[in-house]
Amino acid sequence: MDITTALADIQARINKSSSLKDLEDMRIQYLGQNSELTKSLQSLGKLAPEERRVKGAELNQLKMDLQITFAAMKAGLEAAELNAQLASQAIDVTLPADPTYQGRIHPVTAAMEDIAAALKTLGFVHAYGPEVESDDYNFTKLNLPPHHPARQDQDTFYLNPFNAEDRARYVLRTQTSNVQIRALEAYKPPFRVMGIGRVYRRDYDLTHTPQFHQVEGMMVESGTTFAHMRGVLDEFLRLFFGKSFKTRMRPHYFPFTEPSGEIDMECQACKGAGCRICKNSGWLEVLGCGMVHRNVLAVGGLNPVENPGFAFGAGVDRLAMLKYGITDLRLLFESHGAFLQQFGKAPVAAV
Amino acid sequence: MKIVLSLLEQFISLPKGTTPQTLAVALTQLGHEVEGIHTSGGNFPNVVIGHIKERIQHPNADRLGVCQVDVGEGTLRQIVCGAPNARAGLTVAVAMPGAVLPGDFKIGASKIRGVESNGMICSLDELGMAQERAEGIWEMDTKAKPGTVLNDIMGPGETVMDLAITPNRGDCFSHLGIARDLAALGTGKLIPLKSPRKKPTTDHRSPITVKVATHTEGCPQFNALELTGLKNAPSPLAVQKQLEALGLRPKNALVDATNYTMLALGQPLHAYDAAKVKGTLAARAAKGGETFHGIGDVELKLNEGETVITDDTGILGLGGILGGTGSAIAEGTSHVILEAAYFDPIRTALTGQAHQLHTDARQRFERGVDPEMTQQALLFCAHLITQWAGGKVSGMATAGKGVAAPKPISYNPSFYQTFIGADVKPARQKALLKALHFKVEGRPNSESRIPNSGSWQVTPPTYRTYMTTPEDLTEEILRLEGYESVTPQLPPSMPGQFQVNSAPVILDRTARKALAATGFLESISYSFIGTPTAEMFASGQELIHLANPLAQTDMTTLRPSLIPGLISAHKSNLAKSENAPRLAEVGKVFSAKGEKLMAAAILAPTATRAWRRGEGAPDAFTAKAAAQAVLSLLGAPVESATVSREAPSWYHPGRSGTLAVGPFVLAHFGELHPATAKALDVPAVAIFELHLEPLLKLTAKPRPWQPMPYPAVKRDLAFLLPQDVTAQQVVATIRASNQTLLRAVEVFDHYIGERIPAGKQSLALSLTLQSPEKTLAEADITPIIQAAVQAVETKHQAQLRA
Ligand SMILES: [Zn+2]
Repeated sequence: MDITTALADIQARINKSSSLKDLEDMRIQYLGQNSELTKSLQSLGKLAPEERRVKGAELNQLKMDLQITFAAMKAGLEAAELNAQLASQAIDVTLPADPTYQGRIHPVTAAMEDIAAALKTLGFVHAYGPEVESDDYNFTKLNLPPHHPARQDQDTFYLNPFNAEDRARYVLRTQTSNVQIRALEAYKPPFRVMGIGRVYRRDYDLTHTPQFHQVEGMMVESGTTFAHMRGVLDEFLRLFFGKSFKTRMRPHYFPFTEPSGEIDMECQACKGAGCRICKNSGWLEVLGCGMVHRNVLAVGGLNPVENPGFAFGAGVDRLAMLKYGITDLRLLFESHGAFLQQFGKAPVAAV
Repeated sequence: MKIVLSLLEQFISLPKGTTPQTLAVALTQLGHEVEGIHTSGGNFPNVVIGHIKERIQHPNADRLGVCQVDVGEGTLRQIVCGAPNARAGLTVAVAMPGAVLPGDFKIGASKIRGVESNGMICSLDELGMAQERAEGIWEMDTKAKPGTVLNDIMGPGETVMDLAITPNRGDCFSHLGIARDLAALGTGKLIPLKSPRKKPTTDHRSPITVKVATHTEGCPQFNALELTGLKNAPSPLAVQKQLEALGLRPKNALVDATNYTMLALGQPLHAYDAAKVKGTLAARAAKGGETFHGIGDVELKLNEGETVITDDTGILGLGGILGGTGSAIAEGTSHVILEAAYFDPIRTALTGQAHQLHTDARQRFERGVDPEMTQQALLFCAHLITQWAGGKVSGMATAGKGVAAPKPISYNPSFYQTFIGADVKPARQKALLKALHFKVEGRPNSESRIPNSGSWQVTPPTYRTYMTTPEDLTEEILRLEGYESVTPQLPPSMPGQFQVNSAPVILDRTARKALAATGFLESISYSFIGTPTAEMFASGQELIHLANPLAQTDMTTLRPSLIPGLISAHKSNLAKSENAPRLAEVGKVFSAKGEKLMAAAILAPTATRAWRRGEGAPDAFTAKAAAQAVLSLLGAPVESATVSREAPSWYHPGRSGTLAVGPFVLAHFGELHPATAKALDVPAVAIFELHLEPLLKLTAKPRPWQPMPYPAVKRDLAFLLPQDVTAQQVVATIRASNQTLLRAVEVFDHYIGERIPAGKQSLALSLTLQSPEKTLAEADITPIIQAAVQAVETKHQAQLRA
């Protein structure tokens, strides 16, 4: 049998092997110590030099070819075996995943963060005010003396016991405006501060909860005008909502500002045409604002000629509802798991 | 405040084409927000005048009658009617079949209890002309023929606008006031008030017998006159309709006229039965402790200084707020004393607050009525009464030194530009102020930037009580120019950063995010809870209660802990039969010592049935792990915290602990006390609470990076220990045995049970040793391990296990 025929013959047999063991048996048979090929190679020395060179080259070529064939076949068989093993390990990946706890910050917290971020861009810095506040800070210093008619509108929660030490009457703050007074007492202009937090009013119905959240901002700086106030507030709303809206400003009254106004935003549900959400007006009230009243500036020893300023406030819950599409205020404080999961925000970009 | 268009138009002629909507735009620009527009009294083409000719008892129903009604058809119409006052001879309003009454109530011909009924005899409320349910059918006072359509005598429905009047605009609590403001804006022309006489008259049509006096600054102006020979008569139908539209129930000419005058001119008035007033009608300051019996069964104990109206026998009224029962007019009173006074706003407000009395009179007096209007309004009202109910008006008796005139405000028109940031020429500013009836005098120096040099002297009208500063004037000009006339501008960027301590706010927000990152849903619950619950969480501190809690709620006490709120949130989630979510909250807790910022969370077994592996119920260790994770996200040095076995009373005493770093308590964790759980009716849960404020003082010190090029070596040790030795103590003992090469000591196994002697526990620890200088050899390691073993054995009566 010539060597080429022999090679083809053996290769055909190798390719038919069905298992790694078969293949190893064959390798021992054809390439092992006792194989014909090994023996032939060992007996090359007995041949004449010329014949030995020719025959030796032939046999070595044959050996190499066989080794390649074995290696290829082995890799193939190993892959098949692994595949078979993996197939036997297959699972039903449509079964549910392991339970995880997905935390969410409350939509009101998310709104507070977005508001703070927007105001920070405009140069406002966070200030802090307590929730239990003296009558003085909540009202009197904000130009609301005890007989002021606006006090009735605010339905205040009063606290027991009164503070025994200073004999002052204590209240749950009805507005974050107490931050204004604390800033005026502590800092010299120019400054821009914001306060965001919980406030309380004695009011509980479809559209009022006895506890809600407010943002308060104040800028006091020589040269500040009413026009600046409008500019800053339009820009604040644009930054918070992520796009520009039509706004309008109309007169209002707050004891701690003069002139005072309110800013309405075009109702997005009806694009200003009038609908149930906006009570057919086409507008939604979002902000109260005004130039800081001289009696309030006086707390910091300032006056509106040399150090004019403006202040503004808005309901955080309302802003959150508008931004995130929440329709019922009371849902915010019911801690309903499914609600918190759906409207809460992931704490990414946090901590 | 409600205004009705037909009454407004008695004070202003509105431009052609004015609609309620265009009026609403003008009012909004003026600062009077329009909260609603509606029509009162409807358009009823199918309601006609009828005469009841006969009423007989319904054969099948005791309470019903069968009426024969002439509605001008030639034949009588049979209508079944249940009203007790239905009787022959009445003129009534008949809704014919096909009529649609308010509330989409369709009238048809029908059989009622077997008797044919062809229409309905209406009551006032069925026609939408009364707010309350009327007792019977409307007994009409009209000479109109049967069959006359109701619209023909009633006129169309009244347009009512609901306005939000801000507290500084007492002058706008009247139709006249709104008309004045509209006219200033240029929406219509003011119609001068048709006043019978401007000055108090001495021309007695009937002599005045009553004497008046005032002895208190609470009432600087007191006027009265007498009306004699009054007949008991209703006010005109058109007036009744306007009053109905404004939410008042018409009563009789006398009462309606005082209400009408107040709504039209803004001046509250009071009528006394002259027969019941003895001697001088006087205003004085109350002595503390005097009592007063007011209309509506109000019994008051008065405070010193409150303004009262008296006669020679006693107190007749609480000035500017409430009339008394003793001198109240009765139906058919023919001799009346009518009072119109000016009551001090501050005194009125304080008195009203003290007694929690909310009346239309108080609302106007505390915001300031126009002192120039009191006498005019008194005459206006007196003449309305005599017009409607006959009788004679006496001359006027007056007392009091009057109200100080408004002070002029120094104002330089250049201030508008510097304060508002928009340009309005001085001439225009002057014109606008004059349109609002301000007096503008003097010549401003337009060159000067100093507001008080060469200023105008601007005097507000007597009814603009709140006008005192130049800023007030800029608002007046701005209102008429329109707030939208100001072009928005951004201020220059910050000239240097302003330093504020934001740390507490940042901590509050970061804590919320850290809890969410640890797998909790953030809950926001109310800061007030029920008092009995609050007491369970008081920890011996004095609680703070709401002095005036909302009625019918259990929100009475400020929460001393966040846990009760989380428990009730947890329970409401369970009630919705959902998986109980892991909830957390960050917020203030309160005690008499002050408010503290805390975080808390509740961990309950999930109801999720996992197909793969069941999860055990959360316990003290689940809570501890979560607490540590959150604290670590907040940058607390958790690794140096120590754990003690104490916790507040609402924790399971054996399964709870407190984490502290040095003197700072950072967290309590554990299982809810079974007794607390039982009291609050909640299944077993694990909880933790974090004290956030100490974190502001605990700044982790920055440590330089130490490279560790040589491998670490681990050795395990297991000890048999008495059960009262804690893992923390053993770890501390081992750590103390070598300070240099021992990198970590970790517990990896703990056992109590049958395989070891009773009273003992087995604790297995893994020690990590590493040197920054070399690879540790057995010769380095052995002495360290031996020292550790020896320390534990001697200190804790431990035995090393093989
Ligand atoms: Zn809308």
